[in-house]
Amino acid sequence: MQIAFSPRGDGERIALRLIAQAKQRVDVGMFVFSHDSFAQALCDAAQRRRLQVRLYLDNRMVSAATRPFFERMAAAGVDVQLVRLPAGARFHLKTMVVDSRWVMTGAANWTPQAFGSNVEDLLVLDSPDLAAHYLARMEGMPQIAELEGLHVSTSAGSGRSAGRNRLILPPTTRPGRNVFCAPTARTMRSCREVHAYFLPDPEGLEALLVYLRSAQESIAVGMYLLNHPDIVGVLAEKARVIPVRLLADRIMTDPANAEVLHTLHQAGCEIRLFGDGDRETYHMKTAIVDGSQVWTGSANWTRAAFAQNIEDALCFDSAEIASFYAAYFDAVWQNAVAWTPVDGQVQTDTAGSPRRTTDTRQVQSLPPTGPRTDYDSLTVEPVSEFPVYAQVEYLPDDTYFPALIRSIDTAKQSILGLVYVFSETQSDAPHQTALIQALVRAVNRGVYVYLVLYTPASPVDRLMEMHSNQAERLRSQGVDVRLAHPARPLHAKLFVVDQHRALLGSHNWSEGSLSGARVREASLMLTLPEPEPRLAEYILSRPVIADMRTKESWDTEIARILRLQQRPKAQREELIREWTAEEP
Amino acid sequence: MKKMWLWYWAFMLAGCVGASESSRADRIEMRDGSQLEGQFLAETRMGWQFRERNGTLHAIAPSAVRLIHFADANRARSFYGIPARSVSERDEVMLLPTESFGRDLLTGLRGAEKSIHIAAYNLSNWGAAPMADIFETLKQKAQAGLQVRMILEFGSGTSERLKNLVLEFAEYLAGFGVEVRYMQEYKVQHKKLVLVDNQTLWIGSANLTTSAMAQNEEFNARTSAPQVLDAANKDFQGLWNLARPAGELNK
Repeated sequence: MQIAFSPRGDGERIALRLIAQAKQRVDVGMFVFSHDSFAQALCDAAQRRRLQVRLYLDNRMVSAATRPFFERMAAAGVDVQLVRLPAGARFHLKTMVVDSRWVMTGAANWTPQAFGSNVEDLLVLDSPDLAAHYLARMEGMPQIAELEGLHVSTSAGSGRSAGRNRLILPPTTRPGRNVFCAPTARTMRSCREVHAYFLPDPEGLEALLVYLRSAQESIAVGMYLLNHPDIVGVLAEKARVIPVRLLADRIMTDPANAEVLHTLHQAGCEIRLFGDGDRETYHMKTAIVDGSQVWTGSANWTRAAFAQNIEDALCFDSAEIASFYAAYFDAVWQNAVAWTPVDGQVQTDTAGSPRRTTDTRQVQSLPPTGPRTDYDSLTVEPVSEFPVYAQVEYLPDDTYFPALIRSIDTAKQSILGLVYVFSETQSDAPHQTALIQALVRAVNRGVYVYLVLYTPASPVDRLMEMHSNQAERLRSQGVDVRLAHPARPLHAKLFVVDQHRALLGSHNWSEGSLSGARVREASLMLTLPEPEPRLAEYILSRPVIADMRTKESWDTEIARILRLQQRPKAQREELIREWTAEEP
Repeated sequence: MKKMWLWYWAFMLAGCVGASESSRADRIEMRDGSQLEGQFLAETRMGWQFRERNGTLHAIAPSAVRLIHFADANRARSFYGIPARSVSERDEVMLLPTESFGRDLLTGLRGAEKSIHIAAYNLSNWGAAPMADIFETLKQKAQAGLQVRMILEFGSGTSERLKNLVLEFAEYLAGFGVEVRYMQEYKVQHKKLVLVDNQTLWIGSANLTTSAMAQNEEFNARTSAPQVLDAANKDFQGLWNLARPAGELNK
């Protein structure tokens, strides 16, 4: 048995190798699946090696935005099955069974974020018995339908020569120092037995409660989301008699969960939070009891997870496994922030000597993004023209790029932009690469970088995927990328540095435009003698997707907006009600 | 120790100035959504020193800040390092977000006396106001004997459907005396320029389409800055010499 952790651990390689070594069949049940390497690996297994590859998905996770991704797989011969569950329930597994023998499971969805920035676990067990249980679960889902309505022609899929679909494993290079990394994967030798529970079977919750109550020495809980009242109750009970630590994601500071933190804090539980709420997510669903037992799996400790969702939970009685989990728990704990309740009262006593109390404000993360876009119809107030007085320079073709880089490199405080095309960087794109490097340099100097990228009104538009990927990549590097609201097609190319230098015109941020080699473009550069707040206001007030916390969240929102636009009003309201109800 | 005293005096001094102009406060928008009003004092190694109106001092990490608004332009200039010559050498530029562009361009075209030179990636047939009025104006000006020239894209980098729509409508306009040429090269003609009487330039992201005038988020500008007009006229002339009339295109 093997255990790997994220971020930047060995999970991705282990998983891809497992697929590459499959001999007969691969069965996958996945809640969120957007990782290209995994899609490619499954296509390779199905198409080139002619294995039976089956993928089970929650049918609500196949939206207008994600559909083409799955259709490409279906076209390559992957049997894509959509699981339909009652409202409010989710098919939440993150599981793969290979050759009816190897079971891979854990907290990690198949997204670049899961392996690249989140804290996650991933387990591989060699057990035909366990594999049989998982397969029976997935095959036994009450309502399954095949993915229908392929936009991708099957001839395009089979027309590819077999050799071109070769699998590419990610490079083994480790990131530099000062980057938080998971430890190397470890093979466990002592484990002979595992208890597996499938939710929503009621035994799962009973087992967990018994197991927590049985703790004699200590409990360490590493949990993305915790608000199941029974579990909170038991933890609070235990915290009064033994040390209980909770390491949770920052999502727990949402008002809806704040009460849980208060309850546990009052009971004596030590609480720390990890993640900045936008980029790195603490996504584990683990408990370590008495340093000898480990509970993990796909289930958050919420009511929905235990009562409605399809989830798995594994329970090990092994000091070896427990110490590996505990060591990583402690490592993340060191990087997490202690949570204590904030008093409503802020001290504003200025009678004393306020000049000596200097309050240091340090926030390194991106600004919070909204919980959700307003789904009701969008209204944009027209902005009227306004004059500025500036030094003006005409920038045709390849003269734009050096001016752009120079403006970024001299930026002191803010960089704001609206961009119609910021295509994904191909391998041979020196201008785009240099542009991204300049933006990241600015971020690292403390400059606030805010970019709005166009969102097409059609999910099959190539820019949809490109900009979503670009947003994910740049946000992970601290650039506050937002996706424009699709109801207002963003075609502007406007770039404002420190509120007083503006580049505007026809230049897109594609390699061909930036280099001047493929497209003829013309722009202006304005240098104003003083900051013009209206430039910043204009850019910051353009309508954008509110929920930019994860790629999943913005893809979901965009898909919903596009779906709403096609519906009559009565149906729209019904859909909005449905979506509002399913919020956790 | 010496440094601390310096700071102390700097704060005291800043305090006096601040008190006299409390109505014109600097404002900092933090990334966490909060706002501070007061006075930006200095840049230090610990961060930006900012004194709130209630007297609280903050050392603010630059990476905690979304935007700064300075009450005093000179202060802003020295903070951002804005070159002094931008104060003396400057021209008016009218910034034209989406809806305002069509109206402004129409007014400009109606006032044309000698020539109208247009470069665009594409254009769409008539459509709603102000696009319909813009095309009507181009027809009238061409019929009145002005030099109306238009450069459009007809290269391999653009879809056949779009190219043919553009060609069909542009040739219709040509019937009224508008001189139309097309770029048919590896490089895509994507510039959006309108030059009236070689004296005024409209430049930006908008093509000559109805969606660009009303539906999209576009950003354009108008200027008569002489050095810009000079460069843009030359650029247009260069393109015009490279472009070809419909009859000489490979279709």
